[in-house]
Amino acid sequence: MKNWKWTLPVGLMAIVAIALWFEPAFADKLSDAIAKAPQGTEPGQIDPSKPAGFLGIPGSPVVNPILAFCWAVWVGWIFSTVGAFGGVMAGVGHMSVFGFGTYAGSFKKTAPDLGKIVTDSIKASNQFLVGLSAAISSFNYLKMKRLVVPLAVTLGLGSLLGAWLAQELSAGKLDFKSYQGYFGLFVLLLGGWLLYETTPAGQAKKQTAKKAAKAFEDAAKKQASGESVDPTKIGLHINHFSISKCAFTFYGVPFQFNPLIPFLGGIVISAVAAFLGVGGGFLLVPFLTSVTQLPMYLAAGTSALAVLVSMVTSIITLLMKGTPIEWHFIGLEMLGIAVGSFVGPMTSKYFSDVWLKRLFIVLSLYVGIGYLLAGFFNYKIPGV
Amino acid sequence: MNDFLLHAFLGLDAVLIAPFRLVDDARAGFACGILATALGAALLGRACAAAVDRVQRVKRTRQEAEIKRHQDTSFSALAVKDRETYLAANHLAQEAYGNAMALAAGRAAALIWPALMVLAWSTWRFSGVPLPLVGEAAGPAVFFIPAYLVFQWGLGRARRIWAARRDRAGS
Repeated sequence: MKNWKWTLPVGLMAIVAIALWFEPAFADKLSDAIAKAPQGTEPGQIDPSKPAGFLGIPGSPVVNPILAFCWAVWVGWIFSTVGAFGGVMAGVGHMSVFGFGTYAGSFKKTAPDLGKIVTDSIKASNQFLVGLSAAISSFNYLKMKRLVVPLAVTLGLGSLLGAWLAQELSAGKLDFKSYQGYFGLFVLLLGGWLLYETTPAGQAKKQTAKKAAKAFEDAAKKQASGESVDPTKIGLHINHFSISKCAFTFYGVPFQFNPLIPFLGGIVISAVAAFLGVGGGFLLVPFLTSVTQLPMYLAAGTSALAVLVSMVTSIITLLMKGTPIEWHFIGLEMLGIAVGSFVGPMTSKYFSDVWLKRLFIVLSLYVGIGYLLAGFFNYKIPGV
Repeated sequence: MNDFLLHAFLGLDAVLIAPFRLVDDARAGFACGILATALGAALLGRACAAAVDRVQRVKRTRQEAEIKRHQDTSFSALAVKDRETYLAANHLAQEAYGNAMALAAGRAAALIWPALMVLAWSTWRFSGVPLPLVGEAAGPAVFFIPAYLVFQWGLGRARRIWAARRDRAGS
């Protein structure tokens, strides 16, 4: 277990360095796509006389660095204040605010290869933004030894396979309109789920859970304290591991699961997350706690590692397929998110959490419907 | 505004290229520059992450305490085979975990942005320039990323040692 502290960072470092080593060799893919695109001044054509913008393509949107920074501050502020919607807002920024979406979509008929490269690059940027927290969390959980290694391995293998399959099957094939449609569907479902949670039925479920936990805590306080814990039971002990059964005890409490379930779950969740260019942690944790019924204490660290594996696999697969990455753009966005996360806790006392959540639910429903209509039905609603 | 951005970029370029010119020998200068920029990016990242962490401390402590409370409840419930309470407490811990993850995203962004900026700048600055050992087959990222990770690891370790000494001195 302790070797993970060394092997994981060193392994990741090696993988990223190798991917970047080969990146220039694949960079020609963008040049080839630009060369194949028709030249002219109409939408869907490349005008060589215009200044190079996003990805160095002549005539592509030139994002004002101040606008990119300010939007990222907004994303960071939302993340630190509401605790959600940051990934969605980052995607909205890339697609609608900076104009990459309209630009990529304009090549659907004239130069599909170029449109797909731009789409993949947007996806990779989203993954950098939403997946980075998983990297920090994974290292923290590794240090705290809060990982069920067989579970992390099976889930990680599933995530790796899912992320690789999604990128292998979709990289260079997914045109922007389809991506926008699927992203819209995802945002709409997310908004719908959060809306349900604010309804009396959703709130009742939460209140019941709170009451049950509170009653148990009160009862526990009344009991005499001072019971000692058997030192041999402290921590995690794997008792049995086979292809169909993993049994372990945690602080003396027995757990067991079928390793095939997290493996298959990892494939499906990571494939969806990689396809959409989102992190996936928000799906993995409920999956682990609901399907395998693992305690959050272990599910959190394990899912963070699976998200990290999935993110690294997706980005490397995209890089190997020749997807260009705008490092300065991502760096600028990270700076903005950092500033937003700095400002968020200072200003949160002036806003109501509930009303902010409701505001963003409405926003996500609007954005979701807008992207869904624009992507699948070519119908634009104002603002998206 | 464009003039301001151009001047800001030129100023940044002058600062970042300076360590590459400290030594006359091109290879040694490149090594010196990579090491200096990697160390600078790691230090700046750590400082920014510490600043974000300080501002987030109250909220983060609250969220983490909430996660711990629900986790402890779920364990205690499991120990007495109260499955319903176990699942309820686990569900509540999940929600607090989501909020804590969002705060972690801010700290991650603060930690990493200087490295991404240096990566972007060095890729642009050394575009088409044959680099030591690898020629034109690879970009400066191949040297920068390992150096940056080594400095990050070293700074993390130094910080832990310093904190342990301070705790010993305090007690």
